[in-house]
Amino acid sequence: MMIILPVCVALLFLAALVFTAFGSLRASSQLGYAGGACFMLALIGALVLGIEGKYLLLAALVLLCAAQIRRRSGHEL
Amino acid sequence: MSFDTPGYVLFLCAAVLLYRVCPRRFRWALLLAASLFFYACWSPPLTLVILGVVGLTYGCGLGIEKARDRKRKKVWLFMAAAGCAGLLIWFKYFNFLASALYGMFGSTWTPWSILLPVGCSFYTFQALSYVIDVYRGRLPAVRHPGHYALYICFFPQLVAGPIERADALLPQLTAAQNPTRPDTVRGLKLLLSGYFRKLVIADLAAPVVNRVFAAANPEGSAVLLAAILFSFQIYCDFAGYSEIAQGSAYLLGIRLRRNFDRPYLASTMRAFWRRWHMSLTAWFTDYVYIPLGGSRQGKGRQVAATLVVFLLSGLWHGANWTFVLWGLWHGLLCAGEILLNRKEGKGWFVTAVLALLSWVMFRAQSVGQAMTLYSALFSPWNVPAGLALLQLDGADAVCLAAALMQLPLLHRLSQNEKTNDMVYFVLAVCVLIAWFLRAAGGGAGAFIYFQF
Repeated sequence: MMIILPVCVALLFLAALVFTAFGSLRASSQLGYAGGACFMLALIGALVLGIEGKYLLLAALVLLCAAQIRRRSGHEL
Repeated sequence: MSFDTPGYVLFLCAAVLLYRVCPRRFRWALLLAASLFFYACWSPPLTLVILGVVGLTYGCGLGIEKARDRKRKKVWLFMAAAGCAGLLIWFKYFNFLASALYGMFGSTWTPWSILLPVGCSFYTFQALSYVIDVYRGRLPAVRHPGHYALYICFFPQLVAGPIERADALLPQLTAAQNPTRPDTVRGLKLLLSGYFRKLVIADLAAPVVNRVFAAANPEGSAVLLAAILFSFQIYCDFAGYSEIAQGSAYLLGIRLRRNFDRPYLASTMRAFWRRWHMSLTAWFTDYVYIPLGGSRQGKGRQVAATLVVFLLSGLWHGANWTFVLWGLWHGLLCAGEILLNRKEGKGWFVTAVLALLSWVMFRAQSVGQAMTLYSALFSPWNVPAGLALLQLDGADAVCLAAALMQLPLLHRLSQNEKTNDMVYFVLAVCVLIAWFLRAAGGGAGAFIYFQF
């Protein structure tokens, strides 16, 4: 459990990042929502693990950066 | 009650709910009571000061309208202007003027303890704009004292603007329309954007800036980075405040004017001022610059009017020589642009650098400290010492960079552009985390413009 949870959190965040970035690239709301769901789960896991707040903020900000990919071409998420 | 406290969020929710259930004819009274409560939370005795300004300018407005000749109208106008100016001089500039006067005679002045009423510079300017507009015949005097009091005291814009004009705000307050769904959505977007700017960007930059500006021996590279961060801090702090004010008003179905429009993308200093604190710039343009001749009476007159406006604007920001010199710096740059006929187009980087340099003077506690910071900036750098002074770890640095990268997104959000719900969710998460981080750190970074 001590190893599984951090790995799960990391994988969930990675999944959130990938879903968000692809959702943004393909202008797909569904992928965006999937990214949001993964991020929420990762966030809950991170809170359980007691990860420091500034790293949570950093993760959320990185996700927001991913959500802005291809925004310039006029695509919406 | 500051906008960035849980107390304000609860207060706003209660005000919006009550406003929606309240019959329309009593809404002005509800908003006025809420606004006075909001202001009394800062300092109950100083609420009398704002009520004094309301009483004075309301009476003068009626006096101007009833006066039969221009001379009597002028007397009423003078009374209002003298009352508002006297209030500002007493609360804001008394110690500054006394110390300057004592300094001229080689002695030192021990400052008196005078508590500055929050938002004093904003509401006196708003009240003055009403009286001047009535004097100019642009506006009929308001008969209903409650409506007028609400125009001055309306809580979203009471403490730090935007400085609204009576012709734009009063009809909305008296009509008390039901907030529409698009208004509510727009308001929530503005609140989200405003809180992100304040709690994430401005509050992340603040500790780094404070460390460098408090250092006894600042290092050049650290000063440069601190100046860059301060330029974003003050922008996000004040633009964030303005968006929270706008968002709060939208939830009540009331539209406030926009106060910022990406000022650091301006290509000239004059364009910068058309995009920075737009409501104050418009106030100075209408009530100082144009009466002094504006741009229609030759370049000499225009340059003189520009310098007067910026000196006053500097003084408006605070009773310190740093603000006077900051105003003069901007005035000289704008005057230079007028003389050189510089038009908008290229020159974004130069304008941004000139604005950046001026922020060092604005943020410094004294002219002496500003000179120390400038000399450090233009001396050979010792980067390792600068990094040690910044005390910025990797995670903080990446956080700051990532937060600054959200500025285009925030602009789109404040412009009511559509985006995915997921983005709102992650933005809200960021705001909540930043809020908890601040609460855990015990630091409450007040809005910078509250001191003005």
